[in-house]
Amino acid sequence: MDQLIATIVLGLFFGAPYALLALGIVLVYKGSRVFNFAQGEFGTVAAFAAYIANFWLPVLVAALVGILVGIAMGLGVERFVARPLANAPKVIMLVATAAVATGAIALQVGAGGGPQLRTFEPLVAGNAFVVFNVAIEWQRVLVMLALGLFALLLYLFFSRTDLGLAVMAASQEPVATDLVGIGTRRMSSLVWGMAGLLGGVTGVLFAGLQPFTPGVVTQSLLVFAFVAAVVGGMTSLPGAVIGGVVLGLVQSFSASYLTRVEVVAENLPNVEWLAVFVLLVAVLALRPSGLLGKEA
Amino acid sequence: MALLEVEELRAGYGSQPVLDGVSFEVEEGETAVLLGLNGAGKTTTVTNIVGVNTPWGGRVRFDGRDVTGMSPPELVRLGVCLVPEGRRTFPELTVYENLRLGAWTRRKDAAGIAASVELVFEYFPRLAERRDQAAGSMSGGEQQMLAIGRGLMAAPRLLLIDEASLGLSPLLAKTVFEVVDLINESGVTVILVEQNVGALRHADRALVMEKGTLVYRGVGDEIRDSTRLRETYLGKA
Ligand SMILES: Nc1ncnc2c1ncn2[C@@H]1O[C@H](COP(=O)(O)OP(=O)(O)OP(=O)(O)O)[C@@H](O)[C@H]1O
Ligand SMILES: [Mg+2]
Repeated sequence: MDQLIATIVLGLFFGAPYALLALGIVLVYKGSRVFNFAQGEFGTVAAFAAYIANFWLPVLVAALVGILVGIAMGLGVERFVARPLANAPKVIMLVATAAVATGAIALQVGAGGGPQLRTFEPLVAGNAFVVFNVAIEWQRVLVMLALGLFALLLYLFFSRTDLGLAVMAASQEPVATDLVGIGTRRMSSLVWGMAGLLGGVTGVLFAGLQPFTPGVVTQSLLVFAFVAAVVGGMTSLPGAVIGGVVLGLVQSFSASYLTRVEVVAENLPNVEWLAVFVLLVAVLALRPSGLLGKEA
Repeated sequence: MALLEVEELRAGYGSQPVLDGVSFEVEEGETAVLLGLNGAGKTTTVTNIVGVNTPWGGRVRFDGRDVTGMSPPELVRLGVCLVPEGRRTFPELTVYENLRLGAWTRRKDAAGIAASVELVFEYFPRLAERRDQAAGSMSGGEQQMLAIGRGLMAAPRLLLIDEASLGLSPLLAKTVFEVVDLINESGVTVILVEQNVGALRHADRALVMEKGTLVYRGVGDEIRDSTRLRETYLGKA
């Protein structure tokens, strides 16, 4: 019983960063029908900016600087990649965002003095609580709070505001969006700016969880965040949150229970990766539109 | 001075010219019909007027002001609104949300928006019944009504409708034209782009287009029994 509760708590907290990154991915997909492979690097670039700013500035201010850099990067990718390619085939756009990610990682390695580990202080140090021998740091609680806050804000944005409606309209009918006077460019900047904000927050918080290297958010979170987004239905914000959390749970359950089976432990040391893959395949087979996606 | 003045408008796609110097005027309060066969350049004319496409040359003046090459949002703010060919409603949004977004440029005016929604529902009771239905799940005719309604929400002075009657049953087309009459009577200047000559009965001015130029212009009673119009347009149809 103790182990069960500990596994659940761990799963929830380890799923939160996936969900936070997935929110940004879903936002961009919802707003411009683009698979944004640069979402992770909005995070790492923000983390590097915060790390550098932290040489001169207190940690909270440095984190804020990092987040602002994340927003700037989101806006920059919209202006110089997404907008010029707006009428190009979707696959070109996808490759272009992947190129942005690899370019950003190369820049971090080059300008940041190589791939060595760096540490950015947690915004709040120490453990928040301990459940059955599992310690949860304050920083993880912060990730969870950020997830809750942004999920709520985005929900309200899309369900309660005209601006949220306009963003959805722009993704569904760009020509008509201009014709009613909204202006698709401003909506596109808004979406990518918000995605930069979400990525930046993810990166700055994630960098405070453990030592980090160039490309860390892409490497540690991006694949899982994409799985979370797809499992959740790709256009559904609650779906992204649920997808991320389910992923965290699947990982923690397979890590703590499946590894007890001798065959598994001996042959599959990283069984939680396999479990994520099985989850993805199962969801795609049983419900191709995702848990909360609209029927295609 | 005419409300809309189009002067020697030239436009095309890529390097392919389509409009070869189109000139016409529409007076405030009129309903004008722009007729022409498939590919004549009617849609190209209106998209270049409202800024969806940028003209290669010539002038567009609205209410005396040069608006050539302005963006659609700028023109909507000035009071020029196009109901585009193919409806282009926002498919996943409800009827009501589509209408709300139509009023984007005056979204601070809650009372005005409520009144416009009421007016649209009065013109098209079908839309009121389907207020919360996703636009994409409605019939083609219903979507056409919604597209016109959404255009009205901008409270335009000049409303251009590209193929209002396309794909509608004769009965529904009649209803739509009757609503166009009501819109016009409420003070809005209307330009109908049509292949349907039935629209002539609702028009004060007719323009016939052929291969990128205007081949006939007429006003008043003349257009309803003009043999020249019939020869140029119907005769070759
Ligand atoms: N997006 C485009 N790219 C290239 N050529 C185009 C484009 N749109 C229209 N054309 C060409 O421009 C010419 C005029 O087309 P336009 O759509 O203005 O005709 P139309 O009078 O509206 O016809 P219809 O009654 O069929 O709608 C046609 O020859 C057409 O092939
Ligand atoms: Mg046309």
